Amino acid sequence: MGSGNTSPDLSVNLGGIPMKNPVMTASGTSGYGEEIAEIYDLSALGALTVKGLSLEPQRGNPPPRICETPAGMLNAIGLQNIGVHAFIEEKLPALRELDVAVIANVYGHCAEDYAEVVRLLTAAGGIDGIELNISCPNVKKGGMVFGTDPMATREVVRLVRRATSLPLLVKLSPNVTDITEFARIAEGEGADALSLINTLLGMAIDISTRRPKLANVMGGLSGPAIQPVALRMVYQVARVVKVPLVGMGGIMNAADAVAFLLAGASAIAVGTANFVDPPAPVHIVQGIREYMAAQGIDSMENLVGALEKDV
Amino acid sequence: MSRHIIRNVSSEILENQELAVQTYRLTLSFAEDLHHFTPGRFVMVQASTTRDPLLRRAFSIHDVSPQQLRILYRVVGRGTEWISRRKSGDTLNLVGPLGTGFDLTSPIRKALLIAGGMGIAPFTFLAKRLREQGVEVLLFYGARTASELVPVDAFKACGVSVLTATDDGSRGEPGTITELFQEHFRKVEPSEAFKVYACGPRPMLLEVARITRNTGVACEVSLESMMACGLGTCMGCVMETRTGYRRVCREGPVFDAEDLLWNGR
Ligand SMILES: Cc1cc2nc3c(=O)[nH]c(=O)nc-3n(C[C@H](O)[C@H](O)[C@H](O)COP(=O)(O)OP(=O)(O)OC[C@H]3O[C@@H](n4cnc5c(N)ncnc54)[C@H](O)[C@@H]3O)c2cc1C
Ligand SMILES: Cc1cc2nc3c(=O)[nH]c(=O)nc-3n(C[C@H](O)[C@H](O)[C@H](O)COP(=O)(O)O)c2cc1C
Ligand code: FES
Repeated sequence: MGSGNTSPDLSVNLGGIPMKNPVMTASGTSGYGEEIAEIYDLSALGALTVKGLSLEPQRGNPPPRICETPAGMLNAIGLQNIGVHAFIEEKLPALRELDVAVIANVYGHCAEDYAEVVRLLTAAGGIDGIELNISCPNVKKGGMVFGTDPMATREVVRLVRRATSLPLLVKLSPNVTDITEFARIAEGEGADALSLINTLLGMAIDISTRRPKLANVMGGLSGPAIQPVALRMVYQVARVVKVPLVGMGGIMNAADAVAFLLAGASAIAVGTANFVDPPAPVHIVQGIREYMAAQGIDSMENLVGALEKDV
Repeated sequence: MSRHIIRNVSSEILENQELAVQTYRLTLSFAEDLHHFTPGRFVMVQASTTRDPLLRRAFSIHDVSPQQLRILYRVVGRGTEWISRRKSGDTLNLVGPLGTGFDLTSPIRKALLIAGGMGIAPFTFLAKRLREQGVEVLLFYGARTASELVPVDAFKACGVSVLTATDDGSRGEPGTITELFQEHFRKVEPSEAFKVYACGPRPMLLEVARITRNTGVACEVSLESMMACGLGTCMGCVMETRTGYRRVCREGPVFDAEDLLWNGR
């Protein structure tokens, strides 16, 4: 048992990103941090991941873009964003001031686009890490196409790796048969960490109007409904790669978060829970601390992947 | 611009009273002052204690008195049904106030309010504020049938004239509220400094926007949209405007009717 009076150390190093705790916000669920900052102090977070950035501003998909599903939701935002240039000029200055690691989520129509956005972000300074979104199910070109084709994954990670010396996270798609194949490729091409999972491709129909509930017809499923799938994938990937993992998918509270850490994630990201319970990440940090104290675990090293072998 | 303060609070239910068929008025108690709760803004309310249904539900600020917030809502599905079963003494978590409300800064002498169905919800508070400013207020209130109309005593008490229409003619004028509005709108002197505020189903708002278009009369409409966060982070609730997609929960829910492009669903 750990000594009762020292509080557990929650700090982690995520592939070169030092974080004071393992709790991050998931991309696309906390904007560029501004709105969340009206509710709680962002320095409570280990890291903030901003909404996916592209070279040019994106209009996004027509509404309706979201709908609720059993214990989850579908979204087809279509990566509406202000573009990397406006991000650097208008949003980044405020983010630099914060006492929290900032991770820029990046998306492109082609591999060269990804690399260009990453070059611009790297040159701008003040960003602690890059997360490549090769797994967005809501855009026609790019997005998930990269993350579901091994050759395309290899190409884009390779190109981006050459474009930056910043810690590089690659965010994997769950919409594949064997996620470990993609994890290995990303690691082999120099990813410093892997994020998983992005949303699962889904659909909902309004039977009274006989129409799809989303204008885009299909969208990405998130929330508690996907948690067992996400947990399974983190577990599988943790067993085949050495780089640290960011686990996400339906994490609502500290108990959910701890399960991902036990399965092998070095950090976790909170997505849909930010909508349901905006201060959830703050409570999750506190809950992980309490769990560690109660279990006599003094550091993250002794928690990550500490799943017992037999049931 | 002053920084918004968004509260995430559990507040005690003082009353949850059925006012009309499946229509309830919820009164919540607050320890602090509700200075930022202004007409047209809204709150995101907890609608379950489990993970299904998952998301909060959006409700307009119906009325505010020192340390009390009121919400007027209709039971239309699982979330509102759950809320309707909460009793006085229970606590309910909510996030707010959110969004951009009605503009009360332009100097007007007269206001025409058009409410369809639950679109009445934000107008009690708006009418009170307008009356405090000495503005003459006329309310057009329509529903499908008489049993869906909520009492309008609060409007009458502050000197608002109320005109009613029901689709089936069971109370007030038979027909739609926009027909009744249009008749009056034609008669108002264009020289009078007045403004139109509308809240209700989208087809009604579209019709009001059409009637007021190119008349030089300002018209503000309060929109509904599917919402996940209500905060402005998910980009799920957007409406198409002349300047691109704008968030109903942040730049709205109140928009200038002239700015909206109505081609979306
Ligand atoms: C800014 C804003 C202010 C609102 N103010 C009020 C109010 O003051 N009083 C009130 O009664 N209602 C108001 N609504 C609508 C209210 O949010 C929905 O009726 C509620 O979310 C339905 O939840 P449910 O679980 O009961 O229904 P569900 O089971 O989720 O759905 C039942 C039906 O309601 C529709 N619906 C679901 N969510 C919304 C939504 N966000 N907007 C419109 N329709 C929806 C669905 O399409 C479906 O037809 C407001 C909505 C918004 C966006
Ligand atoms: C509304 C919404 C927008 C999202 N936008 C992005 C995005 O821009 N880039 C990205 O990599 N993932 C995006 N995601 C995926 C989340 O980051 C996360 O991987 C996924 O939602 C699973 O986590 P959750 O169940 O906790 O939400 C988005 C998810 C939602 C719900
Ligand atoms: S509801 Fe999330 S941005 Fe409006």
